[in-house]
Amino acid sequence: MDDPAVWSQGSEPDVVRPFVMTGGRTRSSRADVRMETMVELAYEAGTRPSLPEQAAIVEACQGGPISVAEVSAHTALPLGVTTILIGDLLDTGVLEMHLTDPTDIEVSALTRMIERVKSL
Amino acid sequence: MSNPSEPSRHVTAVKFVVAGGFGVGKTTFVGAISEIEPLRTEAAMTDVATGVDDASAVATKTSTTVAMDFGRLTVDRRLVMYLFGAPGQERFTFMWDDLVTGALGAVVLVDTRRFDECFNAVDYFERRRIPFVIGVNQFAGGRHYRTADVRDALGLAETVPVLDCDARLRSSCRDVLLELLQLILRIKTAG
Ligand SMILES: Nc1nc2c(ncn2[C@@H]2O[C@H](COP(=O)(O)OP(=O)(O)O)[C@@H](O)[C@H]2O)c(=O)[nH]1
Ligand SMILES: [Mg+2]
Repeated sequence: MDDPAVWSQGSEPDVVRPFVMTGGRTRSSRADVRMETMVELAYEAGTRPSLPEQAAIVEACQGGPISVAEVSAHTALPLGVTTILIGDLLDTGVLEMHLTDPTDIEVSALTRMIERVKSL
Repeated sequence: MSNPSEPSRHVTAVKFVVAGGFGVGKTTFVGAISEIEPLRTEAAMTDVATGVDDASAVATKTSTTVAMDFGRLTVDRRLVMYLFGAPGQERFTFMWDDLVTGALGAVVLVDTRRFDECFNAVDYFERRRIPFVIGVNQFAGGRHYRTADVRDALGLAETVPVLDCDARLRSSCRDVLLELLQLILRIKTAG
């Protein structure tokens, strides 16, 4: 892969556009949506997404449960914007989330991870 | 898609962080473990701005972004591991709270020619009580350090595992990640 950390001094339109998509929000109102949070299309989807960016997110979720970070990578939307828009899609019932409490990881989950990594 | 007659089973996603300075081998490490080509996502400095509810204020914000490479390792239908490679230098700390919240553990890669580049990450994980292991990357041209010397140089507790790591070798990355998982298991079963 190329440069480890890309610094872009973007032109203003590039800066403004993502935050127009989010209605000026720079932070999700939902603290429970993290970059590794798995989301999935709801069986009975609520409101159809109106923004093209939301439609792109829904498209990225067609293949089954997927993390917020993967949605961000597949849609090329910045992580912060993706998180905010996914929060909206959760609020409107288009998506559902699989919440993981990291303090509650079972020993059995750890031993399964260990076996998986050993098999590499 | 979750169907009420056939409920989709809950997927547990766990996050690990691979931290270290530029060119230390974070992306290489992530790629060695990942079952997919590492993906990239961009976190913008603006993400951490708070109290901005006026869209006109947005244009004055800096557009500095930092890229994170990440990979995935599926354990089974219920459990997925994600590895995020992230630069650990001071000026990137704006994204660290998001990165580390929910993380189960971390690997800090150390370039023995530039120890200082990992101080920030080590401090951060110690403060946040995130279990971490040190992978010592012995690049050609640097003098060889024994892992014990690295432990001293970084002022690490005896409980922090320090291993040599060549991120270009899958087996080496596997061993470092295994050490981390075993550390987490020890902490979990002791507590
Ligand atoms: N000698 C040596 N080179 C490495 C090692 N890991 C990565 N590299 C090389 O160092 C360069 C930077 O690695 P990269 O993974 O992109 O670093 P990052 O900036 O931390 O993501 C690449 O050319 C790698 O092939 C290592 O363990 N030993
Ligand atoms: Mg990199």
